[in-house]
Amino acid sequence: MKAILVRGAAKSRKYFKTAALLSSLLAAFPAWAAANSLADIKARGVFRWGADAEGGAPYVYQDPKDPDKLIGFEVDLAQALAAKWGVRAEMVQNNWDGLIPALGRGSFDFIMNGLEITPEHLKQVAMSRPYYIYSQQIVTEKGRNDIKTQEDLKGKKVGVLSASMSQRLLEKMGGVTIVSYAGNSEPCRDLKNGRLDASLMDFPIALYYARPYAELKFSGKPFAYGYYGIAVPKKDAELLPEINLALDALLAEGKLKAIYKKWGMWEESMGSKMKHYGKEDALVEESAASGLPWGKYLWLLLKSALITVELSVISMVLAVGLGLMFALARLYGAAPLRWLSTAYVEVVRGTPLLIQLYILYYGLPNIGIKLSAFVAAILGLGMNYAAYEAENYRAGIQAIPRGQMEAAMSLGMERMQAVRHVILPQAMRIVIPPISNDFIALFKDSSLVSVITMVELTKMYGMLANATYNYMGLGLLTAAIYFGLSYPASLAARHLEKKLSYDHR
Amino acid sequence: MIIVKNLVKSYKSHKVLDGISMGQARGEKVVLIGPSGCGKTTLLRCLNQLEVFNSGKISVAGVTLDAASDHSSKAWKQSRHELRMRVGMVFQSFNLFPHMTALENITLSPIKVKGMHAGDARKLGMDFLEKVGLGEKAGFYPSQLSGGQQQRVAIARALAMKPEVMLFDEPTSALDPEVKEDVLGVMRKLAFEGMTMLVITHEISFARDIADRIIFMDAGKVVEAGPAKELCAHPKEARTIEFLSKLLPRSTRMKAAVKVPDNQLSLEDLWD
Repeated sequence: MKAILVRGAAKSRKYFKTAALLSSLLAAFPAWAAANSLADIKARGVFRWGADAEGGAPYVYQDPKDPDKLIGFEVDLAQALAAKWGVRAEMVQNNWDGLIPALGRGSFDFIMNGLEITPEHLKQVAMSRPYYIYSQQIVTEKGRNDIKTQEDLKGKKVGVLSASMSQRLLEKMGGVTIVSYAGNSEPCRDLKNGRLDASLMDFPIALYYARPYAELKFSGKPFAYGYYGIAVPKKDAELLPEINLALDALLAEGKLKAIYKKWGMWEESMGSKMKHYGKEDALVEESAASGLPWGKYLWLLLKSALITVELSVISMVLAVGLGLMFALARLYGAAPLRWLSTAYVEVVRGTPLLIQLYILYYGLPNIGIKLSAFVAAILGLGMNYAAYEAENYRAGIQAIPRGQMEAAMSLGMERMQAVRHVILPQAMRIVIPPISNDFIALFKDSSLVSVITMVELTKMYGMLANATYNYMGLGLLTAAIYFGLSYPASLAARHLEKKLSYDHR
Repeated sequence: MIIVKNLVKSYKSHKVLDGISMGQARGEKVVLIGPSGCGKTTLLRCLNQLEVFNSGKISVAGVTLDAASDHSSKAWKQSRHELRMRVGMVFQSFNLFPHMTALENITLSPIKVKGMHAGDARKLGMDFLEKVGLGEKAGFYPSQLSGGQQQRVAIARALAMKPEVMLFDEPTSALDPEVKEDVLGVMRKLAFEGMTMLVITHEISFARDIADRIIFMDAGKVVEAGPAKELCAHPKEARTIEFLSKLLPRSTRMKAAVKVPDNQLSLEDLWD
């Protein structure tokens, strides 16, 4: 495997000159353009570094005053490196969770985005000398004085950034109810809303995300020091010493200090720690999830699949019920009801589920409604799909010939009696295929609720895959679980459809 | 039994019914004829309020509805319900409920509207199915029945509500010639039992046989009305003559077949 990789690398170097001629075209094929050495980078005149600017302050983020511009201490660092090498720096946007796999695919030359130097990262990538020493900071509400040390977090509900060192630290310690978030501002908001006892975050993150909240405070001293390093693919051994040399030089020149001072991240003790770094001082926590037997992964995935099933079934029941109400209101209701249900369907259908979830979970607390993540997830999915189900019902009801309603009314039935006994039983049969189709779609869409801290199947997969980098094996396993659950559902729908059929010829 | 006064129904500027007036006594059989689009179906649909009329007045089986009164009022809705309870309707396209068996089609309304016990409704339904000659088809779904059988179930369904007037909207137009006679036979029996019937049909020989009167309509107006045999033999209006000339030759040929069938269908015991 390794030999093939090296050959492949040599090949890509050979073709590089041709590639440079077609540089603009080849930007779309990053695998060809990934540099393997400083010479490559200099020949190209630009290095490409991978980072996630979404919620990325103070590392890399969009300048609030000029959103076209990226700023952050890592942007400054990249510029310092570029100046040193006499090339340009180009940031490549990539989800933080997926930075390492993207590096493996050759999407960029190296990662520089608060990636911790840990044994498990070192299994996947080669890492430079540290460019920053970070620590963990506990953040709580202002009035609270009972949580000051790591030990105090036991038995508490603590928010962390998904797949971060903070999360690993707490998983290792145990006894903490961990709520993991996709971004950094969400745990702060939930802390303010009283959904969390505390939040644990990297110190630079705390500086930029927690400090602006008047209701929050830094509780206790930072602890658990660790290093951020630049990551390159393991095969690119030539590039790593050059990066280390450049970082050493930037440290010696005081350039690093200047950058961190500018961003308010400098502590005097950092100077000597950065010079005399050693693995023994660094926080080297492995994720609690790595190195587990497959049976354990399967168990964790199945447990979270249960949450997915629970979420999908309850929200579908809600969607089917609400949808019917909206369809009936639209078809048979008085004018204001008709108008309302039409508006509901159009608005809900015309806005992303993700935004609806954010509003339900993070927005509603602003007007005093604090839903639990589970309730918000059910409401979000259920109310969203209700719009689609309403349209399914409407189509089904309108497909029933007019004569059916007329016959029922001529037999003395009131409109609603006719709908109930004559129209709906027939419409049901028509709407079962689209509704079961929607159920399967909802089953998979339920993974979106991970943005409001629900750990369901896809989120669990993401967490395990992040910890183990086994994207392929766990991915296939997770997909198999999804399929294993959705296929019987579609078989059941087909059976029901047959059972409700009244065409007995 | 039926009184219609200056009935007007228009769709936008087009007057489908242009001041219709007519009357029908209890037990009388009246056949409505006229070219398609003349408004006869609309008139029938107004009589059980499947259509709302714009002006005029109807009174059917003692229930009076005036176009001038407030259609959203409780009293109006109550009258409309009363009217429908007293008027049975048979449609050209049968309109059986496809998700229910023949028997369930018949028992649905007695159970849900009249609050009849399921067992009693079943018995009533079976009686009516037998009266239309379909007792053995009780458990069949409409899709398993021929058109003629479906229409007979539809007649039984309307009769099971014990209406005082039966409206028939071209009940045999959608049927093959060989099954038409089954349906017409049931209708003859019904006529013989003394049911008040208002029938739209192109079966002119059937009309001549059972109708006390024939009303000829054209362009939303009653053109000519009179005793069936007289109107067929000596129509006065040019339009009536023209219309009948198209129907009569065919019906003369069929005359031999238009006798009351000898099978022992009796609807007598259905009315107490």
